[in-house]
Amino acid sequence: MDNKKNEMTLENYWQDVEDKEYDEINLKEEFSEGTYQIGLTKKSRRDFLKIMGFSLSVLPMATSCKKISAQKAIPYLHKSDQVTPGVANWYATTSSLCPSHCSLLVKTREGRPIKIEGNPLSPISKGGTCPVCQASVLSLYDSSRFKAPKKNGQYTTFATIDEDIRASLLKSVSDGKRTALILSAVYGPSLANVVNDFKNSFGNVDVIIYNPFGDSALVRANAESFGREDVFNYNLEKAKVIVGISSDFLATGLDPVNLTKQYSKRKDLFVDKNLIRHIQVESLMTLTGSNADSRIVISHDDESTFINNLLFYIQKATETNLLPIKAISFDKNPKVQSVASELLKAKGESVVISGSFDVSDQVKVNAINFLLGNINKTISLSNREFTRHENDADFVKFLSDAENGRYANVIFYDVNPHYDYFNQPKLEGALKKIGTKISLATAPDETTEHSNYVAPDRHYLEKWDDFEIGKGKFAFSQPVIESLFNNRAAQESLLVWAGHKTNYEEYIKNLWQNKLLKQFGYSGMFGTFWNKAIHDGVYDSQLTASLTPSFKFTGQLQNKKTGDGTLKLKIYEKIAMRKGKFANNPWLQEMPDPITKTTWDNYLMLSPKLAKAKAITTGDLVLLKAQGHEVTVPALVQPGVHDDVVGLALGYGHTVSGKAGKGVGVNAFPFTTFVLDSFQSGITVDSIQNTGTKYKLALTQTHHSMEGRDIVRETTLGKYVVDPSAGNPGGVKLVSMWGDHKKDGHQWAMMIDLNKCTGCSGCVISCNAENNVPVVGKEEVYNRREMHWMRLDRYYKGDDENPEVVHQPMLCAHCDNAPCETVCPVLATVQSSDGLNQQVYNRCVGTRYCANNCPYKVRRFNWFDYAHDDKLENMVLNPDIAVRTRGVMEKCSMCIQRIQEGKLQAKKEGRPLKDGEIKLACQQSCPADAIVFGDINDPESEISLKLKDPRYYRVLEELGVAPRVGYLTKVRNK
Amino acid sequence: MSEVVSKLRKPLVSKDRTYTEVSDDVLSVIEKPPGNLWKICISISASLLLMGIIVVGYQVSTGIGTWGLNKTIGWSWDITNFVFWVGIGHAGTLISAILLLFRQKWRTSINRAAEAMTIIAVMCAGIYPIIHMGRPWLAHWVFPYPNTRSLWLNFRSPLLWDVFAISTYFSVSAVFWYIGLIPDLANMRDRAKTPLKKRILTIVSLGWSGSHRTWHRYEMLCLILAGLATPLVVSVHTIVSMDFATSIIPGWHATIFPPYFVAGAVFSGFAMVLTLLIILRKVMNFEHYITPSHIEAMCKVLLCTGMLVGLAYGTEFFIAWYSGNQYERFVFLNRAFGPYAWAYWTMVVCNVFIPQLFWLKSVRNNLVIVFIISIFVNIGMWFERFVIITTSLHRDFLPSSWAMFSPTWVEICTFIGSFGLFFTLFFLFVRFLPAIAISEVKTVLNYAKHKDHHE
Repeated sequence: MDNKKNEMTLENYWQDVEDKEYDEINLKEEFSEGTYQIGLTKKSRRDFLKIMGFSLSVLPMATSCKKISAQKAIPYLHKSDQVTPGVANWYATTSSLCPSHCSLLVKTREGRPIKIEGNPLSPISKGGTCPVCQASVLSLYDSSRFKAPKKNGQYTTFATIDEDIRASLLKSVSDGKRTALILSAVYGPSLANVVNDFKNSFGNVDVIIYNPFGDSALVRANAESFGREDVFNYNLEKAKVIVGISSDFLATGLDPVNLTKQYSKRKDLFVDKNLIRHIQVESLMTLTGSNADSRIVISHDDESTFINNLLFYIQKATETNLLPIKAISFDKNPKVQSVASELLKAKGESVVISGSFDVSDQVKVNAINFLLGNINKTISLSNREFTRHENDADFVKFLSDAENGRYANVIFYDVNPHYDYFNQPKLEGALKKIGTKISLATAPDETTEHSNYVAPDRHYLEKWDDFEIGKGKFAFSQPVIESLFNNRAAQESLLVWAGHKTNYEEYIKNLWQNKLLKQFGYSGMFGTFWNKAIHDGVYDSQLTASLTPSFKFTGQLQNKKTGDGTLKLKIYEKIAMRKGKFANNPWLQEMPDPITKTTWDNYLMLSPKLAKAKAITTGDLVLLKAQGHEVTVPALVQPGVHDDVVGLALGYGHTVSGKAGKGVGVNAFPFTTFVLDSFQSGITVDSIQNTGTKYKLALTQTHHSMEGRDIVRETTLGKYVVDPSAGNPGGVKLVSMWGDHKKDGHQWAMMIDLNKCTGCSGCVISCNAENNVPVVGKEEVYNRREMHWMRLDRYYKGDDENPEVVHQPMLCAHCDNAPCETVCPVLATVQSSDGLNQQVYNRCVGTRYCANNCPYKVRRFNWFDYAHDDKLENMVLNPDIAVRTRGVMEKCSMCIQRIQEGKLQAKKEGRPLKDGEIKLACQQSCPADAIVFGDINDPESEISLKLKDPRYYRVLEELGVAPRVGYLTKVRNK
Repeated sequence: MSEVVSKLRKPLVSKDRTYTEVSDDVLSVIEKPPGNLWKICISISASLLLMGIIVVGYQVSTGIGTWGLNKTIGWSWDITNFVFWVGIGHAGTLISAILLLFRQKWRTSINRAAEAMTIIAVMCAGIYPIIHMGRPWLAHWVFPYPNTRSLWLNFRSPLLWDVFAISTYFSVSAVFWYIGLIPDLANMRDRAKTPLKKRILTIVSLGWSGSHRTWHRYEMLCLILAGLATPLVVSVHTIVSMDFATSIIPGWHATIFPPYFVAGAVFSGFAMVLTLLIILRKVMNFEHYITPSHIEAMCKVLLCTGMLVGLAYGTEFFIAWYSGNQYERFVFLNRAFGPYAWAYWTMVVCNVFIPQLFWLKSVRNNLVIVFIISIFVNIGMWFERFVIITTSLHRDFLPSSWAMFSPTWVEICTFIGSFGLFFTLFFLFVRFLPAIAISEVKTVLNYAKHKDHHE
């Protein structure tokens, strides 16, 4: 089209002077040729966000306070300053989903949050996100959430329940009974103050932190050994040796995103050739274990023995006697000794992390880290004021008190004991004695089912909050959308019941203005502080923990018995489902588990040897009996699991949930127990019987060997140091009859560092959210028809007992000589001028020839019209991406919308595009920073520099398809 | 054309018949009202066809997801059936065109039915590429028609070559078959008793007068069409094979495919011709026209082409080993010993071992055994396509994506439905058109030749 002509036509229709001028400026920007030079300077992510209009959050601030009546819809007379149709607004907020409290950036389009990314300003997560955070935006649009408060199962108004609840609370005071406020955590100053105010206004409130399989053991061990009731902050970047003992710290532990970020830095051969050495000691196969350089498989009971003996050898070597322990004879002692000597060689530069739920184990691990001089080097102990005071024993005590009729009211906030307490009959008996049960959940769960009142809390994207993420470090969350239903922040509910009149936003502001900022010695204007804090999402008061590490333990150590060959049931968390809070999120349900590649289910994980002995194969339904409880569950034969252990994941088997979570899998909590004041797993299995029935386990990968093909190339550090191209025999000499493609302008390419990728699968969910990838459900995954554009291939190497594991992200390789392109009869898939392989949905007739001819099998076909019936859920769709219809092929587009947006932005500003300015969804969310994307025509770009690395290779290069996605070899430090 | 009659060769028509008797033999069957046997047959096949139509309707309205395909195996029964039916078509063209050019007189009594089979089989085949599309309502997009959206086609895609190859093949075969029918249609016209029938036959026989000039033009046109159809016999299956050969999937990507597929097509086509004609000669009382020596000749063709495909199977294995390509080697070992080994060995037994019985004349002359063997070959050739398509796809380069395929009821019913279409059309053909080329058979009658000798 002729731009000049277009300009003139538009000029004729200006409405007023401002508009005319505006149009002219815009047109100039819009149609100016710009320069497509290669960027030579680097601009930080921060600048990029500023440019992106990442501005003050006036819109949500204006709309979040009260329900705005939408009876009259009028179009914009004057365009809002904040919302430009078609242009995204970004807001900083913080996830309240898990104890990591990652700081996030939320992308909103026309007022709808549609994508979550990590906030690079966060001192903790530094821009990474985990699959759970990525998927949480979908939970916002969960149509099963409570639409309004409920009283005895019937929808009602807040006024009604407020009156009832306040009356009941006051009555308990006069009756001399007590009220229990049960929370999963007190995570920030405002919540802590609300809880205090609530407590003080009645005087009969007990605050109980209930977080089974949380950090209770660690917090108590730290209190007992260092006198600090807090968890550790790790600094793996300073570590040379990590020993993980039954801790899945890269996937589910304390702070997986942050730890993955640090861990991957130490696996980056561009930064330091002295790679970290990671030894993992575990009984089940975890994601963390799969990344270890050396993995020691021991039975569940021996995990404690291992810790004990490790401490013993270290005490012996350092000639100290910090804890009075004895070595226990056990067959893995030579291994313990070698681990001890490796640790001793890296004093002050090592770290031992244990996932044990036993206080004694954690105390011993503390002693080990203390003796190794790791405290304040690789491990620091913060002294947060508001968080982490958890103790599993509190809840158990509460139950026995309740049984005695001590409590008249109980308030559940972000806890679900009717699902996750191990002894349900006891719980039900105790809670029956309580007259008023109030739940503050956002969506129906087992506990709301048993509650008299539900005062629905808001989704974290709908509410104000603050979080203490470290000593003196805070994160803020702000509403990015007007609340979708008639709900109220849980904190506000507590305030209302306590008789306060302020809303929660005002409450937070007041607290900061009148108390906290004074405490931190801030002297500037409050408005300046507040605007900046909300804009950045984080605030650092510059207060630091002053800790002199001294190990003092006077308590009683409990020695567990060593493994004696009895079969133990170990309960574990999966990276996506965690402890069950996210069960109703279909993205997470359909995310293949990084190790087992299973979706939509949990299963009894057992070793190949045990499976053979019991004549069980993957997919057999088995009857599991333990602790007087029995359940029928599918079996999954998992290499790398100890023969004396079977594993079952938490988070499944909900009886009350939305459509994605209800009845999926089995509940593992009844197989847990409460010992030594901690919720623990590892109960003895009474029997496992094959029922003879087959179950359809929806696996996305069923073949686990690379069949000797060099798909994932790897070497050892020793070999790498001698020859950086070790394990990578180098390019194949290819002869072509044809000339090369024209390679002008930008030429995009991607590279994935297999040494950094941990396989966490966050990229899968990020891609789902960014590209409107449909969820197909269990049956269709079983039919091998999942739609994920990005997948993680996982292969095993070596023996069944302790195999080596490799993870390989696989996506469209955007081949220069794409085999899919030549075979499409209608030219529905074509090469773009910037080297991408593009799929033209509306031209596709669906012959599937392209998918057949794709050597990477990354093309995905729309076998059906995948449901978009849920109107609310559709609000999460990215408007920049077409929703594909039935019968059409789709695949990774290299986030073409992001490339286009970045290019346009640079063009409008008349500057060259800078390297790193465009970040793809998978790349942005990768907590390991394993993905590099950029322009290979820019000689200074990161990708151009890394392409020359001798570790660089392309999968199936010998086919001559010339893929644009390459990999860097994996280097194991063994 | 004077003919030398061998005293050693058996006559092509085993009974002395006059021209009139030949016409009577062939046409009286279709001039009578249909018998009960025919009614039963057409009811069964039309019911199957109806089921096929309903199932295809369901599949098109719901999605290809109703089939058992997945992200790894994008084609299986659909393209297997397509190649199967196209292959079957080959015998007809081979008999009518190539044997005509080589002046193989024995073809005269079987070519009509074989050609009809060709056309019907190509129709059955043609359905699959359309219904296997994700959006079959846009099937016309694969044709190069002018449009305002400036959209054009990818002439590098073998699927597009298929479109041209199949449509050309179908048109030429249909024209050839129709031209061959004209003298017989004129014969029917002359015998027609009702005015309506006469009128229709007058139109479709294109004013055939039986004059010298008409016969001359007719013979020339047949020769020209035979010349046109002959390369098609080779080209169609060559191009179908290129759907696979030009891809990069191990097990598909092989230069042997064109001759291998053509041999396989002739093999499967003759098997189907045998299956049909052994029934036809019995049911329609054509025993004197389709004689055991016809059957024997076709058995010999089967023996030969069966060994050709056997050689191709062996060559594939040798080349896979000789290439040193690990993916190729794996695919062939996987075919023979992997999870689909049962399909592979079914194919080998049916196509290579069982036809070896045709070395024995007693087997070739035993119509029951020949019939059974022809069924085995039909099954074997279906499995050949299944093995090539499915076992190559199900385990290709990256083991992470390896998968298995099993058909759903929709696929099975669609396949049965295509047999319904095939037999419905074939039964309609034998009911309404002369199943034996009367005018051509008349040229090979002993009666005429004897007469020539005596005079």
